[in-house]
Amino acid sequence: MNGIDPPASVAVATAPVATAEAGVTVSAALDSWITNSEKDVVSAAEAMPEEKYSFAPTAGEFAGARTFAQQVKHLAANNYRMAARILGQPATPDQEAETGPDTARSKSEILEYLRGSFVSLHTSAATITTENAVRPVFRARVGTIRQNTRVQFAVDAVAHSYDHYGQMVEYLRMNGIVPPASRP
Amino acid sequence: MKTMNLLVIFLYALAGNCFSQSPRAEVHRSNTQIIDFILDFQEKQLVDVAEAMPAKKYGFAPSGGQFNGVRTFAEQLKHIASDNYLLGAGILEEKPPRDPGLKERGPNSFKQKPRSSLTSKTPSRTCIARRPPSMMRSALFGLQTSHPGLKARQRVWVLPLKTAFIPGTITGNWRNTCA
Repeated sequence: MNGIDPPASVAVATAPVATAEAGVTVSAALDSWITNSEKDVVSAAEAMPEEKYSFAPTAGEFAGARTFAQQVKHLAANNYRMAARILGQPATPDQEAETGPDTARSKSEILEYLRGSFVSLHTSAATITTENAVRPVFRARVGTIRQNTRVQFAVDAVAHSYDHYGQMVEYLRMNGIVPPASRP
Repeated sequence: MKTMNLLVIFLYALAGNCFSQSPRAEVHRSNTQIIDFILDFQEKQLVDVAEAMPAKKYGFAPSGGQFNGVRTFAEQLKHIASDNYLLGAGILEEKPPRDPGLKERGPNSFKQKPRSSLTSKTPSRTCIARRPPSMMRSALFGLQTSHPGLKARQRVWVLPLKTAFIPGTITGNWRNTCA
């Protein structure tokens, strides 16, 4: 686990005031995980040589799997999308498609796009409060169960980032590279 | 006729506005419901993956490339489940109901010989293989039951503290499943 205090060391507040004194807010709790995922993902993206950005596994059952570059752009596009959702704003078409822009092609361009996605997430997460965390952001369609709250959007971004981070790790290791976050 | 058409259009617009602002559409879900929504999603993804892997492949770990020391499939699942127990217990401020094992590896007891009902040429591996999915379900159930417990104690306002555990659980699941 990263950055989690052992349960026994977490002092449980007995009143809202005490929670505030502990300095733990919803946005801080979520942002700490955005930061964790950012460190792992960005360091992994940096570790892959540019000539390997077009790599995709072939052995086993990898038909149609994304290339490394597409993994990174897909991850980043969803980050932008969730950041927009948290703010109640529309995402761009390439963010909705979760492909990222065609203009981001080189490693440096993709890294810039990736880093920017986490900047957007940090900015959006900072607006999450105890009061609005579980309040619906958009007008819900009756009968739907889709996620529609700020905390869900933030968790989606982090969980999705780690989903694709795991795949990036496999791609790195297949190319003989130990992910920076896993090095001793 | 033109006036009638305009009236119909107006009523349609009014009705649409009223329906879109109906209280039902604005119902807020509780913290517990939202966390359960996320956990249900995680549970389905993980348990489906655990069940999809044949028992004989639970000892698989990639080779080639740079995979020295990575967990086997079984070890991945036990690690995830162990973390879930720890975090679920953390939410409740209780001891984990199951042995998290050294370094969150899960209990060593899963290496014991299988029950007689299991038939396999490699019984110990089969036993290990069959336990993680059930452990996973149990671990995730433990997490889900943590949240109603939180609500019952009227500590929903502790959400900022608890969210530090919850995303950790979820991202841990994703990361360790795939990484």
